[in-house]
Amino acid sequence: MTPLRLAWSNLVHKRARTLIAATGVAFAVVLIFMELGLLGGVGRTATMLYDKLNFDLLVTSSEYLDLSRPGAFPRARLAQARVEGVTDAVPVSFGVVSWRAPQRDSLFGGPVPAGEQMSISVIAAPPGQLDKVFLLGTDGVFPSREAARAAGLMLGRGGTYFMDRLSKPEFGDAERVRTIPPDGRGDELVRVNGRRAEVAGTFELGTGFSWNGMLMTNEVTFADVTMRSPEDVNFGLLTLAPGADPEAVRARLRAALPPDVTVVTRAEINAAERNYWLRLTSVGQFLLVAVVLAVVVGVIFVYQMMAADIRNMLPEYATVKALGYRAPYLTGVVLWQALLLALFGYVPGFVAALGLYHLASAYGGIPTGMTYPIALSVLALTGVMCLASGLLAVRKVHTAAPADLF
Amino acid sequence: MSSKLPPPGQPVLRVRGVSHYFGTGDTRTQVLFDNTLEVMPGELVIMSGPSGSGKTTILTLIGGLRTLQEGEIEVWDADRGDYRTLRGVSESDLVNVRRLIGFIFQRHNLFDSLTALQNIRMAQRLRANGPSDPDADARALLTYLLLGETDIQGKPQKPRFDYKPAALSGGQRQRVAIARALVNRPKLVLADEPTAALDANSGLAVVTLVQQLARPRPEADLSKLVRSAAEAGENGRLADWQIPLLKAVANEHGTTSLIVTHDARIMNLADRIVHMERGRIESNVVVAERLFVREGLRQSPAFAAILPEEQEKIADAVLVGVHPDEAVRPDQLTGKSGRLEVYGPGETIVREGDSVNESSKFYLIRRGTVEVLRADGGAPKKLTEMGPGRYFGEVALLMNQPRNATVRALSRVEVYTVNRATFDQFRDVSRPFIDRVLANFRAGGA
Repeated sequence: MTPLRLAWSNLVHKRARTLIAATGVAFAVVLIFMELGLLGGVGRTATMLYDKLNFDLLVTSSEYLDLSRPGAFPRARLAQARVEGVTDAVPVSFGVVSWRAPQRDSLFGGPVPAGEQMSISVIAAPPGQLDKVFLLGTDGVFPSREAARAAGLMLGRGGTYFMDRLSKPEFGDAERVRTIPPDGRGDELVRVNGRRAEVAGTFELGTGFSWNGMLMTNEVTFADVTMRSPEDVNFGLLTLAPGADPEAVRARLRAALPPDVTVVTRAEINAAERNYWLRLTSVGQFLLVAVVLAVVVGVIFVYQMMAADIRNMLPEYATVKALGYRAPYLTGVVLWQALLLALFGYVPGFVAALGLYHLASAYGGIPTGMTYPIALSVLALTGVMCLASGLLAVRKVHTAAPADLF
Repeated sequence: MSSKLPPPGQPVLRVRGVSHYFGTGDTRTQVLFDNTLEVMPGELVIMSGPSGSGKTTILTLIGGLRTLQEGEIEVWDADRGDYRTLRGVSESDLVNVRRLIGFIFQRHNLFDSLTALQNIRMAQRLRANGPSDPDADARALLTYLLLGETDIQGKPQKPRFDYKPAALSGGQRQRVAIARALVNRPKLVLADEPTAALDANSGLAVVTLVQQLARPRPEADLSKLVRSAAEAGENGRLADWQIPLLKAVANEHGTTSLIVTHDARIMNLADRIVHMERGRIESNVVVAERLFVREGLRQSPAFAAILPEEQEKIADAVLVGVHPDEAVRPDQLTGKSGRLEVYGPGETIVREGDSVNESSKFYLIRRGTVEVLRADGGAPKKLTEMGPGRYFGEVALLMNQPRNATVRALSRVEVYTVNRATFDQFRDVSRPFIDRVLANFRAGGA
């Protein structure tokens, strides 16, 4: 009877208790999964926009903080950025405007009337270069180069927008919004910052912690509607010549550009964005604290269950001692029991988390997804959680006094 | 015998000067007082005494379940061929001692989550060189204890091997616990009321097994236990199919058992009865030796007329716990002077003409030979020689007159002595009988 076998027998024998304990573990597992999933979602949404933009090096304002506060720089810097090795420099601007929500169905089925004012993000790029600016393909913003070019043609008109199909439902269904004529239909009007607007098409980007909905337009309309100088841009997407050494190009850019702009690689901007969201904002810290709390709650719960179990079995453990088993054997039994509980709780917790991730992605707009690192780190955390409980509880086993058996 | 017993004459268990305390500081209470005990291999020892007398405490100390505070305990380790001492040893060494011992607790304490066989396997797992097929061994043991495929009538029944404790009756659980305690064939078994929960037949099976593990019994003895239910009555019986199984499972002998019990069936089989009162071993009686002393006393007119219980009391008072086959060792006599005395060849035990006083004694020869000499004023003349079981010295005490002969040891002699006070205590009871004997003595002997 190895410690593992005995631990297994104990758990199987007391099915009801084991079920309760495993449910407790599963609950903690789900909590950890959710926090880590959200944390992963934060990390993913933080870089989502950059992931969909084409660039080898990115020019930003030196006052860049994060995507929502990018800072602006003069358009002229892009001309200055055409140093040796840079084949293209495309401006992109990013801002927030107000959006008049169309009529939509409420969560309970009733209609919510149109007219609600909401904030929506808007991205602007030269309409002729959309295929260069955005990622194309199945995961891209536009399905193909042709689609991007066609969109560019339509976006060339003033007051015309494209709408992200993945925007939150309260902004209105993009396909439906498309059908609303510029003059409106009933009380449904498309208004951006209070101005007449037309949604001529759609693209696909997705939402995250930084924005809930997105519009795309040309730079003139953008400058007009946001009342920003058309000479200011937020980003410069630099494309390098094939075979050019990015570090060498960057050094040349540093020499060529004044200090009001910074040149960063994709990895750097992604890291900076993640760091901002995960470390500097309260969202990341909150989720990390929640993970720790979930583990602590799990430890306490499992400890309570195991300690009660051990108390009930003290005479049996004392008998094991009287038979001549040593302390490590008993420790082994308790720790195996803890690890098995971890496993019993992890499996249903994992399945539940898969379901919740799907709900969060499909309805919450938070791109949570099960990944090996998350699955494995939650498994490890669950093991650590239950082992910690086991180690706390194991002291009770050692109080079993075989002398009391007579 | 597959494992070694202690050298001849050496005990399997030695308890010397053991005292024990519970609590600390102001609440510290002494529960054991300077106890000394030796148990020989194969002895069935009954621990008796009222509750709270310290039997259980001393059992837990012997078993290494408690840390020894004062005194010394040594347990023979057959595998090492040496004693393991329990004095000042670490927890890990205590564990080694526990592995030498089979414990039978009053409460079965089986693992609820394990089947009968698995519970036994828990014990088997600790034995380094166990049987080649431990499963078969455990099944045989359980079958003998009436938990296998055959019941006492020889009819098939559902074996209980794979039952968990919850599905077993109290008696069945106790038998599984007994099988667990005995499966490794320990050389020392410590038991607390092992048969309390058992019916007559199971109880007999257990007792017979414990006895058979101590030493093989003659075939005739065993076959007497195979009897009809009517014949057996409350004493229980064995089935004939149990006998060969008993011999198979009791394949080692020399097992010593220390049993706390009030079960008369076991009491009657005891080789040694240790009685405790208020933390002290009040008497340590080797049953065979007690019989020897009683028989000796019964021969003497001074004690012949008194009740057998009184004879037993006198016997128990003089016994020092030595086994009938063994010569007494000097260390067994320390602190017990005046009960058993040892004389070398040529030494005088009683001298003719010595007057009797408070320290005069009655003597019963345990071992060796003495000669009786009388001078009657002239040269001493040898009257007779006497050996074990014979007594001398009572006439002078009864008649309160000087010794009428000299008794001298011819070889090394061990004599039990009864002092004047004990002797006088029973004189009145025995008076009429004694008077008649004395009349005969005067008429014939003078």
